[in-house]
Amino acid sequence: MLTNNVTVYVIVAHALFGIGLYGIMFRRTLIGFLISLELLLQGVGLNFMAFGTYLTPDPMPSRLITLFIIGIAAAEAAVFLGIAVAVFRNYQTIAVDKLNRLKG
Amino acid sequence: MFEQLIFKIYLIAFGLLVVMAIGGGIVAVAARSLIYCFFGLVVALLGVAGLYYHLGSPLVAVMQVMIYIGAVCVAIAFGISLTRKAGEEGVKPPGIKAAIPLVLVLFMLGATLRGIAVRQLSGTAVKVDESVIGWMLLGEYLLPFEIISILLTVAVIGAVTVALINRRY
Repeated sequence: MLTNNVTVYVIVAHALFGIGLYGIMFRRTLIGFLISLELLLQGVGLNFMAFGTYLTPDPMPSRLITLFIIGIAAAEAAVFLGIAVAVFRNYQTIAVDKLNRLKG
Repeated sequence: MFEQLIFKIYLIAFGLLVVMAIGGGIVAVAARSLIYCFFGLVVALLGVAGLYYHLGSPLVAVMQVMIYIGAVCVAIAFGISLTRKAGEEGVKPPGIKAAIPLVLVLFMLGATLRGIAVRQLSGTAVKVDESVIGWMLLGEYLLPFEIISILLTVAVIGAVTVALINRRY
């Protein structure tokens, strides 16, 4: 059956991971980078849930791991936004290409 | 007859969730304006929450909606409004480098599907009693749980501190 099949979830999760990776490589600003990072973590969490549900007898540890991923992603987003605001205040830009002061 | 109709509606709902997850993700990385990216992210997160529900876990679905859409997305909206500047939106012109994520993900997907094909499926997506998770958090997984609470505190305090560096009035 299509809706109760690990392959569907794995394909969706990998698609989200690939979309997030593309966004990390090609977005111009730090905020776009953060949005892509969230999508990437979504792919990882969905993979964990699918594998835990279909390939292990006890699904609970995988759900716990997904909850931990969600919590850590919240912390990471808070720090990332703090850094983005500080960078914008000091350099008046958050474009990734223009933040090249440390470039050799 | 009636059951077939219900099953069709169920299939359409599942397909809608998949389309929401992937389509929202594509909008989130490809849209020009960051506001559209933000709404694409919200739609993608809602789709993934629905997929979590389909996997038999209402708890994780609700947590996803509460934490991601309720907290992270609101923080991102504030970040967008605080750091807006004209001329810095959109995507860099993708060259040959756009093939890197595609090839990498296809490689990973092939390896994963091959790994799944030889394994015996041992479970299915049914709703089970999720109150076990609470007991696991207070027993076996107490240490990671506490470390995450400390991490969240430190992250929020650190974010505020970093954002206040060199503040000009």
